[in-house]
Amino acid sequence: MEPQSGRIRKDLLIVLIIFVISISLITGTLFFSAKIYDYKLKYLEKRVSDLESETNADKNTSLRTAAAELGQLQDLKDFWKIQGADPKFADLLKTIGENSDKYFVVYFFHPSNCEKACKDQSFIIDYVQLKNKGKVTSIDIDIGVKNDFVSGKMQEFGIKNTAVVMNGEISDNFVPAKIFEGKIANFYAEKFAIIVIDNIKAEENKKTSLELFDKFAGAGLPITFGVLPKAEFNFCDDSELRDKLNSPFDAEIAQQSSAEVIKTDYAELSRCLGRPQKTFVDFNTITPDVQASLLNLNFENIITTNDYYANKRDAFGLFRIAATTGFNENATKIAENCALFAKETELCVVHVQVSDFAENKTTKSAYTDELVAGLSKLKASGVSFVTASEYRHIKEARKWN
Amino acid sequence: MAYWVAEAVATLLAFTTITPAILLIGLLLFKRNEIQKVPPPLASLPCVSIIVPAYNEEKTIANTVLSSLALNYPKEKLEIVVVNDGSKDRTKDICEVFEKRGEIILVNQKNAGKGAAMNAGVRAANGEFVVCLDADSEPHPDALMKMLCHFTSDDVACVTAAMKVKNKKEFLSGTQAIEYVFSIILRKLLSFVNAIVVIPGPFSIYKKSILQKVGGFDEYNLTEDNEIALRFLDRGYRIHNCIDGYVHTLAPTTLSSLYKQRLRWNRGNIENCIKYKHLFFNPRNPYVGFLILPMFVASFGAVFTTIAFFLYNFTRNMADAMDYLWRLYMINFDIRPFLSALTLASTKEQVMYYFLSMTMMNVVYVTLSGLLIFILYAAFKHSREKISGYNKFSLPAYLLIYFPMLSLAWCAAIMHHIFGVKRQWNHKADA
Repeated sequence: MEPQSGRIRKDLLIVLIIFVISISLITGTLFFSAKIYDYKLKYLEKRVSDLESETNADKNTSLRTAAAELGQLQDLKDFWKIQGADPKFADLLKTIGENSDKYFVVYFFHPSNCEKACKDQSFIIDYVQLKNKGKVTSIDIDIGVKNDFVSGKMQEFGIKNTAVVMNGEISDNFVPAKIFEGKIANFYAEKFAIIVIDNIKAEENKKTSLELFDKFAGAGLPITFGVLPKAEFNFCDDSELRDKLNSPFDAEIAQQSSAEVIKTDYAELSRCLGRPQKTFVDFNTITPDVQASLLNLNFENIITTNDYYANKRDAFGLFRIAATTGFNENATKIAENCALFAKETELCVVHVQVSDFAENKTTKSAYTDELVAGLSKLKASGVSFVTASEYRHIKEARKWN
Repeated sequence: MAYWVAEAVATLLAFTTITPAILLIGLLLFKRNEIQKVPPPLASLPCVSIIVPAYNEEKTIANTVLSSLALNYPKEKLEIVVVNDGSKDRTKDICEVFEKRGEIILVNQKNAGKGAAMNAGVRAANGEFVVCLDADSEPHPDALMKMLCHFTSDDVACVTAAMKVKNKKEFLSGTQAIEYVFSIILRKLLSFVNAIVVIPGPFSIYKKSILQKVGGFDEYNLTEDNEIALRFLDRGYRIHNCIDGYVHTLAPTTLSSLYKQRLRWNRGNIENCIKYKHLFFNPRNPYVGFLILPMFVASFGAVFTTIAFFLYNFTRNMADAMDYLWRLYMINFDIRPFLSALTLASTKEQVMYYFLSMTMMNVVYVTLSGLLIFILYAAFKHSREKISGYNKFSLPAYLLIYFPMLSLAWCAAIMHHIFGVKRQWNHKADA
């Protein structure tokens, strides 16, 4: 059966029209989306311009002082920091354009009450994302301050939170760490160390703890005590230890508890000390339920050695710590390690495991002397020994006041 | 790079789906008054032979025969030929009961496949028209009478029915039931431009003289229904559709049987595309040659590329995904802070950004979703179906996951063909 040629011509014409409509729609969409992209870019660039004018007009903010303090970082080509009051948007955009094949570390620097600045920063992520056509951009957020706008944007675009941090350890996973490291070391000239005497429970441990306490006190080294849960050792019932720690000497009690009892232990300890507990210490892995409890109880300072929390705790608004020295090293080595850590990362935690001292009776006195001497030497070299809470307050004050 | 690959794939996908969609929308608009149009009744009723090929159909064959006997058609002009294709169950025994009552003609043969069974049935049939009726399907009593009216000219070789699914209350078969409803309107619209490329097995009427003239069914084909349709079109015959000639059939109820069915369909379709490659860009039937077949092949390419791209990205981002999962685990999967952050970010300005973030992939999704819903609405309307009668999860599943899921069977079919995996006609999984 052969179809009529007239019908074939008509059908061919209709098919041709369908193709024309389809191709027009698709090319139109491509054209339109390109136009939209241009429009959006122009719109954002105008916002950039507005922001720059706005911030230039406001010279005398505390943020500007902080920005000046960080000024020496701005000559780095490999990363950028965006400061709420001092955005170098134009330079940032130019650099992104010239280096589209690279990762960019956009460092956000913002105050705790950052609604406007944080919005601006989330807008910057939009812009960087757009410029890079969806390429993964490494963006780091300043620690300690929760920025919902920025974290929301990072979630939206699936942007990695780089392991690059101020105030703590430096990871070289995504950034040119060597360049960063050198600059950051210069900036943070002041170094800190925290001594944690951990795992106080048994009677013999307590005696060892008191000895340690006396020796560190004699050297003017403040201590953070890690107190075990009430089920294992009732600190509040031990008047001797409690009176000692409530003496004028600079010491701090840190809670160590499981998720089940942390709330009651926290209340009990706060009651008998007559002040709220702010610090939590646990050199083991913190489980999610403990994590949730800590958040609920609003602990300000949390010290752990768990790698995950050490690197990423700031994502949940918790305190960050650099590293621990461990407790099986010899005492001189611990002090050297601490010095090394302090050089690289600003903060060193000296973890003193009481049970080790208690078991190692023959050498404990000499060991303690050696450790105290090493740390005293470190203190003399300029490292500030503080409690966890003091460290936190110093950091906050230095940043924003 | 990834961005441009995504855009290129999306553009290909857009072209292969929007082009036929324009045809369908055009036909829906311009032929809307003809969709339900009933041709004048035949002056005299012809003799019709219903052929039921059956292989291990003991559970359904009796109902199929009974539904055929219940057709509103003069008994003296209707014969039922059951071809027992070497069944190993009680199919033969059941059919012999009907045979003894003189209600059917039973043809027994060694197992040779559906195409061979159909040919055996055609040889035994005395009717001027032969009907292919799958052994798990049941036609509506008026279906035959309504469908015969659609043989409106000498070049009409076949009239197809409107297939509906019997077991639509179940989730998986209910999802397929929606696809079948979609196919009802699709087949009707394509019949206007003689572009039906599959004659479904459940209930289709063939003009016997034309069927014999073109050589009967291909006995070695995986999808003989697709092959015979392409052969009719190749020889210049027409295939019509009767939108109110209903037949109810059973859809697979397990993922495994669905996968096997679609694997066979897709592989058979690939083989037939190669066999009838001369139909591609053939001006004798421009709708089939320029639209249906090329778009079918291109959509294979698009789906294949999409899945490859997805897997590439998935692998690449696996580490990130694990990291996110780990983070979520660490916070007890408490995503409230993230949600509140997203809410805070959704200012008027952010909404504008979303709107402006228009990529080809977005456009494809939005456009196709709109067209799909529009055509689906028309399908339900014209097939006189109500969504309330379906499994409540079937429609969302159909709109959201059904096609991506089936695309796996498409890819498997391509791979099977490329690597020459042994062909199988899965009798149990399919009809």
